[in-house]
Amino acid sequence: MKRILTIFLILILAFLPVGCAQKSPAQDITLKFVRIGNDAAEAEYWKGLITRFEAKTPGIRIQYDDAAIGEPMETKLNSMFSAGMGPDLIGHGIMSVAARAVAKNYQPITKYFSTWEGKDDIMPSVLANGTYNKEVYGLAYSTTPFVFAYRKDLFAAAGLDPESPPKTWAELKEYAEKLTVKEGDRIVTSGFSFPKSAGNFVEFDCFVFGNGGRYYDADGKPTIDTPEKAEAFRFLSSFLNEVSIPFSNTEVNPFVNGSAAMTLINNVALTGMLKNEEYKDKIGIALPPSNEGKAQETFAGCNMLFVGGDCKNPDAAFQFIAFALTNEEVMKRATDLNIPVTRQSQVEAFTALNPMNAVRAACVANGTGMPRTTWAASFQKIRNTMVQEVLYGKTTPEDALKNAQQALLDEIE
Amino acid sequence: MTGRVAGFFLLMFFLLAAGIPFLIMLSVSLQSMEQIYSPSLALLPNPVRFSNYPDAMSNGNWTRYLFNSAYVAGMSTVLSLFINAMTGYAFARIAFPLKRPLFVLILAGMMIPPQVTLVPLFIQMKQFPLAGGNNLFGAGGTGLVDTYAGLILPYIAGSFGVFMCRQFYLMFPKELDEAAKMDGCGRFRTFLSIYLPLSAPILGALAVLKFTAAWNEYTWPLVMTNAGADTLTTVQLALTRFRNEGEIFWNQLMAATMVSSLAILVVFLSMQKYFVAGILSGSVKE
Repeated sequence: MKRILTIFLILILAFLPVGCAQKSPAQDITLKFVRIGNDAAEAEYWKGLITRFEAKTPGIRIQYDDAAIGEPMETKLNSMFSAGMGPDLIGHGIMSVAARAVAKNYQPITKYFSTWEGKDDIMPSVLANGTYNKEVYGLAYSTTPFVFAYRKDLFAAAGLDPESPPKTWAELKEYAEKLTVKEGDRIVTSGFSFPKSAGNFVEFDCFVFGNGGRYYDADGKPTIDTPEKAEAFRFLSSFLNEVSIPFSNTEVNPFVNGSAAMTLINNVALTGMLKNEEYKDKIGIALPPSNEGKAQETFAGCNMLFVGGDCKNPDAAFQFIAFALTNEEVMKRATDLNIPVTRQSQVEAFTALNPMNAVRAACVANGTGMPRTTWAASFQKIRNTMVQEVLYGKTTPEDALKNAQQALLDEIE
Repeated sequence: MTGRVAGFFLLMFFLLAAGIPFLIMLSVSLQSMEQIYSPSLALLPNPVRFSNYPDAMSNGNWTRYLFNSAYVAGMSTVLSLFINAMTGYAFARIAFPLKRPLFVLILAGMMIPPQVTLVPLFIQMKQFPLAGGNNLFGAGGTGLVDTYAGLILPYIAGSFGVFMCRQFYLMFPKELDEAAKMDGCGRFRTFLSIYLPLSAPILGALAVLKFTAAWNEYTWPLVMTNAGADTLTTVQLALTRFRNEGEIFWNQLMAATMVSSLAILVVFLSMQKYFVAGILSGSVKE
């Protein structure tokens, strides 16, 4: 019995002392920073940035943490804010802006932004992502635009000019039909690869934006049921089944495994392909085609730095944000992580790194993200169902749009 | 004869259903990303890339992650077994006021999803008195957040374990208690010297279940570790690091998952003989 008791006591003693967390020296300000996304390369970059910031700014220390993209980040933030220990600095996406601003999880940083040296240099499309109710809440450190990607070798083989990707919907349809290779009824090479189910249907948003459409008006009211979306649906339904190998957004895009000639894709998802010798000089990227007479636009997600609602030292927190958005750091992210620049003055240097970067920068400048509204999460769910139903022919575009608009209004109420 | 053949095929079906995902995991862990992305489904890696394993293990401090998971799961298991067994013994053998309602209350705990208790539990840990800079009333500091203790404490109680142990001890003859009493043993001594040594089957089974649950836990370590620096990162948290905004590095992810699964395999194999006996122990009341 003594032996068991002794072992038990040793075990208790073994883990109790670690219950005493160390506190930082009283003279230092310690800011807790939680960022969305936890892949090794980005985490390494941010740890390096923190070291550089702390060296330059004595008296401010940053305690870094991150969480995986999606639900884990929300769970982490919700629990921290519930316990009254919300982070001082938060790196998060567009969909968080409105909901967390309303919940006072984010502080407005307009007063700091208005005197910040980079305020006129930040791309307007990027700045818009962090603005809500005329207040600036977040400033972007990373953008993930969707690009129109195509195979130059397959263009040449089909008698198309590899340096002239389609600019209009009509051209897209014509090219897709020429590029599709079939064996009997089976498509072996997809002319234009477009997802048919699951995931976040931002590929559809590219067509909406490329037709001059938006999902909400200036008052923040949803505008799903509009003619631009119906037209986009009709256009896609007119040819997709003949040119696209059906795939789910949770699967690998057939373009990435060499089975498609054109697609809309997150520029980061092309990284592996661009490094592959097999595809050297065979991949081209461009802005997505638009409807005749409309501007070429795309979807561009972004992650921003926010000052937390519980932060007691917003001055110090903004100092960190400003440091992370200096020209040097923007270019370091571009060089080390291949992240498109968010400052207009850096586009030239970014393009010098790789000619493709000119297109990526243009996609950022002409990109729109998810709605900055408190109902963004409901919208995402409803929009995905709507697109899926239309693509599977379960309902007409008009009915789908009408139902989606009503469903969203019901959810908002 | 027909029944035996049907039984054989049924077993084969379950074996394949359980084994195929594992084989696919092993296969993907040895493939290149090009092969994974190829249009045709390839079950056999070609070429076989053992380098995925060192590559995966060099993505972060995996020695630390494995240690953290083993420490948290090991400590949770040892402490919870002791507490569950002791509580189960009390409910099986000791008469005390409100025994039945209290037992029902404990059983009710099994019906509350962990998501519901996540935030209240986190607040409790944050406001733990005299820890992490907190005063006696749990204010002023971070409590047990970012500590091993915070990761372990919520696991050491458990309705299921208490229930299993109670059922197991109900099968023991009461004469054991009477003999122990005649020898001058108190309740605690009786539990430690007689009941606990005879509890190997049930504790073995519970150990496997508890260790697996603690090892696989993702959400609790996610919310409880905020200091970064990998100090308290567990294996399950680290497994999410093989993706970025645009792609998932499936081969390295599967390689790391294989390594992670080995720990569970070792625990299960070492406790296998107790596992079935323990699970069945409460099924027949003698």
